[in-house]
Order: sequence, then structure tokens, then C-alpha cells
Amino acid sequence: MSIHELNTTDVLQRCGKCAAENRIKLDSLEVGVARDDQTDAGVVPLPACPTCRSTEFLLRSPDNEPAHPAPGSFGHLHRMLVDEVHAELVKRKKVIPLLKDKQGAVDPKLAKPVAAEDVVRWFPQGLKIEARLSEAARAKEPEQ
Amino acid sequence: MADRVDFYFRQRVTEAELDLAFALLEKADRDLAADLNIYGIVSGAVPAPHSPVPDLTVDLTAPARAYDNLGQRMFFGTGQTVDCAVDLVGIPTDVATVGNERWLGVFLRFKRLLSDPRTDGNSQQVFFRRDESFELVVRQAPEGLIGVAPKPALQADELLLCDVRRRPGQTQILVGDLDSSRRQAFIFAQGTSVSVVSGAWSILAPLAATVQASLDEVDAELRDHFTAAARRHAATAIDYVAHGFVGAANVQAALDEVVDDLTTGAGGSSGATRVGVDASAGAPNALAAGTVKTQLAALLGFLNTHVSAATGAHAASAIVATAHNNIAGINVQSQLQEIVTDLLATGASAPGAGLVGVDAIAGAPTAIGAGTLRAALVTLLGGLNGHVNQAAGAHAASAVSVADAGNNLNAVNVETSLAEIADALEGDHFRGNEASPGQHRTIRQPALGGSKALILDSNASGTAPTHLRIYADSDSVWFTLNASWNGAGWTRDSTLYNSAAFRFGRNSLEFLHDFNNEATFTTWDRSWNLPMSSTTNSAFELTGSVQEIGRLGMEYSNADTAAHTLAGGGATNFRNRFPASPSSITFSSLSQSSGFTGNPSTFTVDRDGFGYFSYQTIPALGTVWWFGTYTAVA
Repeated sequence: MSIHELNTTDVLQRCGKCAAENRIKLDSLEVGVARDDQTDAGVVPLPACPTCRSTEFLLRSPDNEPAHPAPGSFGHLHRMLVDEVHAELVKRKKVIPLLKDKQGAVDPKLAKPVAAEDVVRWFPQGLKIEARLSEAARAKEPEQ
Repeated sequence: MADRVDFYFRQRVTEAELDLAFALLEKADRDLAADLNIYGIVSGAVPAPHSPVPDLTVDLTAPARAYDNLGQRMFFGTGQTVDCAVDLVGIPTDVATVGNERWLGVFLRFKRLLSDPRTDGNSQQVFFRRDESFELVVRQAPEGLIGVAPKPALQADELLLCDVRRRPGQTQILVGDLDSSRRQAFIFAQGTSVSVVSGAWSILAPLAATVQASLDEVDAELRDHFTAAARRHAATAIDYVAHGFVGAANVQAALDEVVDDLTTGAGGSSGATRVGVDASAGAPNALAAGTVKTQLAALLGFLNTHVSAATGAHAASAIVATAHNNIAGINVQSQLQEIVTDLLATGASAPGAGLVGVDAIAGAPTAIGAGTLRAALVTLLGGLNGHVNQAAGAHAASAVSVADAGNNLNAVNVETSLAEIADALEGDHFRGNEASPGQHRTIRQPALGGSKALILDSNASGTAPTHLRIYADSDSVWFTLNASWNGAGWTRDSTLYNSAAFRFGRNSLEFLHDFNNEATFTTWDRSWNLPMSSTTNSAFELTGSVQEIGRLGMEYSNADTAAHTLAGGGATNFRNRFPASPSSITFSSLSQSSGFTGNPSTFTVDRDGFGYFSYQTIPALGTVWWFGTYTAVA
């Protein structure tokens, strides 16, 4: 599963198992997973696919992660789109309660937004990954 | 003066005596005229066709005066008309024969006109008046052929006024029929009888000092002048009025100026600029009216254009040529075509090569005698076939040189070259006279240079997908399929196929794959690197976009007799190390218990794997499980 578009209201998800496309309201999402008193602020759980009940977890890139080894690849673009979804939710303070302080504030450092110049460079048509042949399809050779 | 008679006192004068006195006076008058040789037509009596309508009469103008040879005076004061149809005796003057003509003479003759008749003493009638008068006489000559018919003879006591021509069937006498060339015009006195004084003359030198001699001298001078025998004008003595480009004032200077101006070659004013010429039509070129100079310039231009023409100056068919030998054409076009046709001929009877001569060419063992090219080719073919058909010993290899344009050999002939090649080959191959001839011994290569030295290039399958190359650089040996090193990057043999490689280095082993099918690329889309020298070296490390699907699951129980919310979980390793932490992990259930709600959650994800857990409310002594797959995208 993966997401392919982010706008001001929702996220477009394409299910990798059943290929269903699901539009998910941003306001229905929250940043973080809690396990007892532990939290993982880099995770954004998505609701289960209405068709196949698969569950996807978007994972923000680690703070110290080096540059992606394959710039422009689907993996690289998906990484940036997930970071933007995560940053937008933090901006909207859509995080689990354990990630808020006592006053209900959210530490903006939780987010790792994509640099503006990278957005312009890699998403000239907006925050979406253009529909194209999957890598698996592209890798097919004439006789395959 | 006249002779006189002297009548005397009481003389009884007779008729004869009175007549004598008048006769003497008349004789003196006529002697004077005769002595002065005065005779001829003084004026008038000019003939003309009858007016207003010409017929066979001739009109004579009046008044007319004339003296005959006897000094007798003739006069008429009114115009006269002479009938030419008959002569003086009434014989017709017609011309009977076609092609003939007849000449008539119209003469004036003296005649007395008698009048005032009286009766004398003898009772005879006499005429007291005998006035001077005239009569017109027509005389005819015999007819003759046109142009040679004679004219009537002149009469001693008559004066010829004119000759008249009669023609067959003639009804009118016209101007052309009247001839006054023999008209006996008035002669006042003989030139020899009149003297002249020539002492002051500078040109004339008459033989005698008479008018006749002077006129003869004038005639001689004029004859010399007019016939150009002598007395010619000097050109300088003839005036000339300036005209055109000639400004001289006499003929000599004018001619000199004309010659000089016509012969000069001075630029812009040569003689040719002074000679006019009218336009000349023609095609393709025509000449406009102008001067000789302008037309010469035009002609020169036409000629130079024609001579300088690189192509199309003449149709070859327009150039005459003389038939020669076997060429029968009469112009260049037909002769060239005939030559080409003859030279291309392949018939055995008259081949083209049989028309080309060749001189003798010395040589050994084969020589070519003088003859035709065909004979020479027959000789060469025979010699060549004889050479080629030699079963052995045609050449010694040492007699065959090698050009070695690539500078690959030290040897200069086939014998030594073969030896040199065999020497070089046997270092790594078995020789032809050894077992396993041609097969390799150990393959040894010296340093080949370059950023990646090509060790092997094998396209044994004949297809791009398995075109194998082996390269070596300072760290690794590369084995590639459908990719060659161009010095700065990789080039596909075919863009229809992916490329693959593995790199075998001293510290790492790496598999490489490129699927974008671009013509060239510098980095591989995916790689699986086994870092053999790294402290973490148990798994391949991936680069490029990666998606992995794997298995995970959990099952746990509530051992208590009351329901509890229990936590379950675990961790999963990715099969290889991801290039970065995954950006998405999806859990899909394959099998789960009815009491298991939802899917597990993930926790602490990194490039090596992830943790997962789930809280489930399990009834007393109950068990729950969830088995499924994960899909990780990085």
C-alpha cells in the first residue's frame, strides 16, 4: 500500500493488496502510536482498507537519515509525501494525546517537513505522485 | 554694197532694167549672208506633238526666222502644222512591217509668194508683188529595222527642222518620236573667220588666234579635265563645306580628316564610333542600330559569352565531323554515340576492345604484343589462368610482401610475417602442429589502461540481453550484460532490455540492476551489496527503490479465568538491509481468530526491520492469533 496524493483535505491511498483507491480525510488521522507509556511519533496509522481490511502505517523518515540513495524513484517520492502528511498533521495538532503537553500544545519539532525547494523540484504538479507504470511493470522486458 | 546700174537722163527704162536693179540689190543682200556664211534656223519652228490631241501631225512654234544656204530669208508669224501622214509628193509614210520603223524629215524651204496680179502691155497677167515666203516639206526615208533605219538626207536648199519617227500602226506622234539632233540651227559666222587676242591667256594656247582654234583648245582642255587625262583639280582646290565630324574646308583636308578619324584607335573616339550601321535581326542574338563600335562591342560580348560558356555552347549535333575509319557519323553527336556504341559492343565479331589499340608491352614470362586491347586481354587472361591454375609453387611466401598499413608487424613479407604471428600466438595458444591446436593456454593480459579495462567482450548468443563484458578497474572486476563502459558511464547495447551486472571486489560483492532502459546511465537503479569487509556483513544492503513482502504473526492466550486485555507482539527482520527506513508498512491478515480485533500496530521501525504489537481483550482461558503479511516500501 502507498499514498499518491496529498491536498488540503485528504490523502489518496492505493491499496497494494486489493488495488482499491481510498480517499482519507486528513482530519480523521493522527500522528503517533502509543504502547503503554511509550509513543512512536513517527508513525501515522491509516484506517483499514474498506475492501480488504489491510492496515497501512505511514513512517516519517528518521531525523538523522542520509539522503535517499535513489533520488526520483518511487521510494524517494513516497518518502517525501509521507513526511509532508506527517508535518501537516503536526501543524494541525492532529497527534495522539500522549504527544501533547499538559496545555495541549504540540512540539513542532515532531515534524520533518520537506524543504520547499525539494517540493518544487520533485512535485512540480503539486503533492502527488504521477500515475505511471510501476517499477515492476517497467522492469518487464519484451519477452517477459 | 551691191552692184549698181546708173539710169541716165531721158532713158526709157525697160522692165528688165528695173528688174535688174532690184536683182542686183537682192544679190548684194544675199551675197553678204553667203559671205558671212550665215544660215540656219534663227528662232522658232520648234516641233511638238499636235495639241490638244496628238495625231499624225506636228506643230511648229511661231514666230520663226531662218536663212537658207543662199541667204534667202524665211519667216512665219503664226504656228504651223505639218502633216506627216504623207510626204511632199503624197505618198503615205506608214510602216508596213512589224519590227521596223521609218524616219521622216521635216524641212523648211524658201518660196516666193506671188500676189497683186496685173495685166501688162502684152495683155499678159503678171503678179506685181513677189514677197519672200516659205513652205514645209516632208521627206521620208526607207523603213528599216528598229534602231538601224536610215534618216532622210539633208537638202542643200532646205533646212531640217527635225526628224520624226513612224512606227507600225502608229496613230499619234509623241515627244519620243521627235528627234532634233540634226536640226540645222542658225550659224552666224565660221569660227575660223573670227580672230581672238590670246596674249593675256594663262591656260589656253590655241594653235591659231581664231575663235575656232580657241574653242578647239578649250575643248581639248575640257576633254583632258573631264577624262582625267590631264588638267585634273588638286583636291585642295575643291571647296568643302564642313559636315558631321569633318571640319575641313577643302576636299584634300576633308579626306585626310576622314581617313585619320576612321583609322584612329583612340579610346572613346575610334573610327568605329563614326561609322553608322543599321539594326540586324537574328536569333538568339540581334544587333541594334548604332555605330560599328557599339555593334562590335555587342558582337564581342556575344562571342565571349559563347566562348566562355561552360555548358551548352553548341549542340554536339551542330558540329560537323568527317567520317573516319569505322565511324560513319557526320557530326560530333552521332560520332560520339557511334563511338560509345562501338566501344560497348560485346559481340564476338566486333567487340569494343577490338577497336582500342595498345602498343607492345615487354615482360617476362608474359609479354603483350602491339595490337588491339582485346588481343592484349586474351594474352593477360591466358597468362593469369595459367598462373592461377598452378597447383603448387605459384609464389614463394617470401616473395609476397605485406603492406602492414596498421603497423602491426616487424616482418615485411608473408613468410616472415607468418613466422612472427606464430611466435606471438604460441605464447598463449597451442600451435597448429601441437595437440589441441589453436586452443588457449593461460590467458594473460598486461595493463590495458582506461578507467575500466575491457577484459572480455562476448556476444556469443548474438543478442543484446546476454552480451557479456568483463571489465576491471582498480578495485573490482565487473561482469555486465547489455551494458558497456564508455569511459564516463554505461551504454546499453539495446534499450529494449534491462541491464544487469555483478561487481566482484576484494571487500564487497554487489549485484546491480537497471530497468529504466535509457540509452546511457551512470548509476544502477538497484543494487544488492554484500559488505564483506564491514563489521556488519551478514546481509546484502539494498539501494534503489525497494518493496518487500514478508510474513509475521502472533498468537497468545489468557490463562486466567477472567477476561483480560493482553498485549502481544514481536519483531521482524527484513530479508536485506533497506537503503533507508521504510516510509510505509502495511499489515494484511491471512488468518486471524474471531476474537482478534483489527491488525497489529508497528513500532520502532528502521532499515533492518520493525516491531509490532497488539492489545486484545481475551476471554477467560481464551486464545487469539493473527497471521498475515507485511509490505514495506522504501
